[in-house]
Amino acid sequence: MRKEDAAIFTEKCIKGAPAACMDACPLMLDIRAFTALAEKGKWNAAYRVLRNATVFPAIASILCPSACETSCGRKQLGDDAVAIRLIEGACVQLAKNQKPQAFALPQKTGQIAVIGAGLAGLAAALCLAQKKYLVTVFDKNSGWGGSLRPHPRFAEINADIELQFATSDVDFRYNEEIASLGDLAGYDMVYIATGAGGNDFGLLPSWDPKLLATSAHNVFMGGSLTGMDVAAKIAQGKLFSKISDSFIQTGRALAASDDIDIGDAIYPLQADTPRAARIEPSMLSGYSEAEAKEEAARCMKCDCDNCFEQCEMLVLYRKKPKSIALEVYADSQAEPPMSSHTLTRQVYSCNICGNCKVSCPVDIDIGALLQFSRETRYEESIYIGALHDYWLREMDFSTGEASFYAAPKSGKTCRYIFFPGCQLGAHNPEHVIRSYEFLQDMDETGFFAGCCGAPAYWAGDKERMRENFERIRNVWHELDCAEFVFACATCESLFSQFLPEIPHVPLYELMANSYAISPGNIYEFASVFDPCSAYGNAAMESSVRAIAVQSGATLYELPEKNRCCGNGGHIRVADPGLYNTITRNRASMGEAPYIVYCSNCLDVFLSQNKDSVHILDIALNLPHQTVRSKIHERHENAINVKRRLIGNMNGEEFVPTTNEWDAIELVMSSTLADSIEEKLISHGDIKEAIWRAEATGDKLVDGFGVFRCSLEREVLTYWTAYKVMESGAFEVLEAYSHRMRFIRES
Amino acid sequence: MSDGIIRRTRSVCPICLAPINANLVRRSGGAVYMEKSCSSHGRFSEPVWRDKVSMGAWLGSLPEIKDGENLRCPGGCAGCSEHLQGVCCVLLEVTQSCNLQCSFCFANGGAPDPPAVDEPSVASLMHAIDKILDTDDKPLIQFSGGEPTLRDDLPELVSYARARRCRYTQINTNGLRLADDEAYVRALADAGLSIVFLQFDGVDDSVYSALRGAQLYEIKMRAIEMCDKHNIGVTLVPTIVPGVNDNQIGDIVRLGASLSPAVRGIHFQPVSYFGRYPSIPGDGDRFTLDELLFELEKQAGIPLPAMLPSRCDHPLCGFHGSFLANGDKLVPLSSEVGKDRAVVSTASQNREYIGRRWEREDEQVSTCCSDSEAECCCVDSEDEPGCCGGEGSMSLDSFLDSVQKNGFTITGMAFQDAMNLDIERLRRCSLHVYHNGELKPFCAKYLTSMRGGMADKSIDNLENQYRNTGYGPYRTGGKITIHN
Amino acid sequence: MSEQKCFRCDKLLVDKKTAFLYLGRNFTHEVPCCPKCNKVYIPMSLAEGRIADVERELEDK
Repeated sequence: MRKEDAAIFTEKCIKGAPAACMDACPLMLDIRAFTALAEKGKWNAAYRVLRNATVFPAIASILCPSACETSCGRKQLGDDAVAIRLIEGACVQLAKNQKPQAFALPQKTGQIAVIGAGLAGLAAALCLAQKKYLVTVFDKNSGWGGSLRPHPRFAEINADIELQFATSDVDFRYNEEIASLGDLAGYDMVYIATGAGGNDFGLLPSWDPKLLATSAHNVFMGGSLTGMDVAAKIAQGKLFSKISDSFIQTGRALAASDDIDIGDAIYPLQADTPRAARIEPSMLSGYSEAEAKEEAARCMKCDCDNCFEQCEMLVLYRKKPKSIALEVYADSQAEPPMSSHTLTRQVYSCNICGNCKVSCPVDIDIGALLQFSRETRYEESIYIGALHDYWLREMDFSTGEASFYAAPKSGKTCRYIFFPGCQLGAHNPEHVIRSYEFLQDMDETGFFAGCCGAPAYWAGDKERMRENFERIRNVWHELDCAEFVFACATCESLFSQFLPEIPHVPLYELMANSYAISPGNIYEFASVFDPCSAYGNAAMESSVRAIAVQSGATLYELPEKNRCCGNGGHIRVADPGLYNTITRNRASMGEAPYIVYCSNCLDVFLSQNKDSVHILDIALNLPHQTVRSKIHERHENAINVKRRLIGNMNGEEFVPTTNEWDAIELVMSSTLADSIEEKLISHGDIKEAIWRAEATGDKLVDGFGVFRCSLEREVLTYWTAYKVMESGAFEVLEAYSHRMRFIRES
Repeated sequence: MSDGIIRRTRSVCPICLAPINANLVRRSGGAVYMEKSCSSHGRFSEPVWRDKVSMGAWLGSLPEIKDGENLRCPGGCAGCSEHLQGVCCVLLEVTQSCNLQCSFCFANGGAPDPPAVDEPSVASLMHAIDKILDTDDKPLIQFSGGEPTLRDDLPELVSYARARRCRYTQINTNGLRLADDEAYVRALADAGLSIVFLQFDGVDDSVYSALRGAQLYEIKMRAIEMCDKHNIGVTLVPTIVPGVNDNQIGDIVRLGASLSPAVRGIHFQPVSYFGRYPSIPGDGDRFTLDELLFELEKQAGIPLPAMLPSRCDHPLCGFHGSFLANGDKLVPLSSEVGKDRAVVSTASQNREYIGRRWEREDEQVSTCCSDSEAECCCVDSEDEPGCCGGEGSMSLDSFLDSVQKNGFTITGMAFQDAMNLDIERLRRCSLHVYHNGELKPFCAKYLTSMRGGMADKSIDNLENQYRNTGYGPYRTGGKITIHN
Repeated sequence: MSEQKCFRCDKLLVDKKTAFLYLGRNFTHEVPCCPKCNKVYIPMSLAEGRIADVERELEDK
């Protein structure tokens, strides 16, 4: 994506664009708004919406050809179209306040003649008069109405015309037939609306339907003379009043600009809407109020809310996709430190899970847009280090101390390289050790403990990603360019995207195809929770299900697939409240226990006390892990995996780098342990702080013998309060951090 | 710096308003003029920048308008799909009447013999509010006129807008009624009015006599006091007219700062010639945006880097700067100025900015000053450097506090008229006017041909001259020169 | 909680204006400091209260 693409990234978004019925209506009646008001019985307000669009609401309710009905969303469901015209009729009957609005505008000087007091001429005259032009209407008959005069309901039509003209000043000249346009020489503009077969003064062949103009400079034309139906000729009258503005001011007719082109966008079918038959009016005259409300409720108010409907983040921040794109663009243009005032938090609160794109009828991926924003912000140095510091430090660990690779013990050529990802062994070492045993039994398999780069990706740090990929590529070449085996969908997805040259296969596929799964363990009924990163990864999704089914579990599919557990995008520090909402919602998506195949999903669900199991516990017949590994345990686990595998493979002993503070023993209440886990503070940082304080005496002490000390890291400053126990262990009483730096005076 | 076209754009003929091409041309002295030519009315030239500030640096790399873009501008302006900006603030005219008869008025309000039309009904205005708030942008609403406080039901309208979740409501007023009708101010405060935009042209009566035809200074001060009493934030809005009050810019800033937090900011508007104005403007009747920036630095000591070009509108349309008021001094808060001004911010970002800075914090909210434990260490403590003043460093409390309470903004907005209308600017306008169900950019709505707005008839002479001689009111450098 | 003492200097901490820095902005705040060596104490209530508020405010800009 380029910066300039960001602004138009959501161009095709149709949220809020006119529904098909509104697009079909020549008068652009806002049918969604109208039926929404009608449904609630707000007849006065509904009447105003109706009048703004139709100029003569009663006439429209009697005569409108109802083009809207042909494209009603209901018809896609197999129902009859919503009877808009009948609802309009009820609205006209029920609205108590129909007095036309009078706008306090200064009188304009332009003088405009309208020939013909039929509906077309009247519509033009009224719209012009409302704009305070001086309007004169000529008609050869003795009153208004034109071809409608013999209509059986002319009394109602006449009443509507009278009502709408009540506050407007128009000069009607009846019994005056204009024989020649020369008679109207004093007028700035002339509008010919003489009706079907009426006098066109020889100008019809030159008529331009877009601008209503003719070959005579200031003469315009509309109505049945030009072959229009009732709705279209009222629309022409409205258009003419707009054209008059530009013509009177500039001497040129300019096209009106309010046509919204919705292109080919069709609102997604609201297929889950219950079917409902059209309400038939019980009275000859039309709907009763109750019937009209019920029929209005049948209108599905077709609009697109798909991305909002399934994304907590979008709902929370309330910005429409189009606004988000504009703000991302604005930010990408910003010079540090002028970042957006309103978008920063949202950019870092997106799981980048891709679900918005899946649900979007025009395939807009808002996550990709926000990921782009993270990358440009990183490049432009307008990012906030604290939001991703924890995960980037984890990445340092998993690509450094915890990382290693080795060829198969046999020394033969690699067939596979097992790349378990950073979290699998950290959460449960057996998942890695036993899976690797399986792979070695199967074929010559090398091993590579490392990180796919997701923390750098989500932080927007492309340089760090590039370095990591470079190293992976080198290892891959060294290990015979063998096929990578992934247990983690995020690894697989990032490799597909950024290291497409490396062939890969999901661990679960190999297991499902060639491994005897022992039946009967763990769950009888379960739902597979597919991680967001497995979207489109059919091999992973189906092989996990195959393993689960082989184990004897009956599977219930969740209502939605590939929803993010909450961990995606590493949003937890940026918006802890949103993170908690998402994790809660995902934990309650299905009642059956979850089978997961992402260690982060497992961690999230165990933290929510949702009964869950990793597919490898099932596949490898391991004890069901029901307690999540804490941060410090994850580090120890990762180191243990490395120690054991190096020992197994090379017979060497891996000696982890040790620090003087590693030996420190911490004691803390379970409440405090949970709290520091929540704050993402590791034992390592607490130990180092205490060790340094004890070594240097640079600490505080209070009357209870409680010591306090701090440790400044690159991004955060950590504080802890502790007591020295008789055993020599340290009882930790408080641990917290802040992002702001203080400057200690010397 | 050499002569030459530095930007191409489009404009209108100031007499017939026909759309025509226009160039921004740099003259040998460095000043930049808009030059354009109408086939019926001749050539026109209008100063747009005096080179007191580098125009290139201020403008950045914002692209020019291209052929074929925004062709309907400004004629078909309302809700145009080609408009490049959302709507930040919508002006809603609630009356045509006015209790002053100023020599300048963009709305041409309070005309001596008003047309016999009804004032808009409450219902129609509520409908207008609905329409405004139904747009995606959820803009601020500025109740304008005429003089909006002539309506007794203004509090109802404010309250309705608040109920409809309009976050910020403003009134655009001369303050006459606010000064003396406390019940009315209380009603506005209770209705939830956020900000009073108070017409405030200077610090003595000579200015008011010249511009407004009455001695209003004391009244303005009373209006500020009254708003303060009822906790409604005030933004002073001076219209700067060269030769009348351009020498009072520093005084206005100092006075405004000393009235903080009652006064939340100052919104300078260089005079423009639409609506009603006394006569055809000469070169010296223009006060360009860079002159304003220059004078702010010179008279008020506000460093240029503290002022950021408008990102929501066009850089040539305005600027904003954030400060902390400390006595009658302002400490800059604005970020350092970026190198490239092609920075667009969206209307909603702008709205947040304006709203947060201009609205007064609710007194109920506990601040460091009301918190008995923490001694306030900030306001009025000039002898305590490193706090609010000093090396640009302030206390945590005063920062949190200042974001709402002691913040002070200096903003400027240069409206456009028929002489200097630049479609490139207009298409980026985020200030709109509600009119008959539509939202129109401010400078398109109030665009007036020179024929229409002026009180005297000198334009007729120019037209006659062009008809007879083929030469129009082409202006070079300083004064109008008739070529013959 | 009893009063904090600097362990090395054996002095009771006193409130002192201290400079803070975040996202390119300077601030001051009175925090307990050792009168001799200027060792600073940031209590949890401050770190997770006002400091966190200011952090958030600045990050949102």
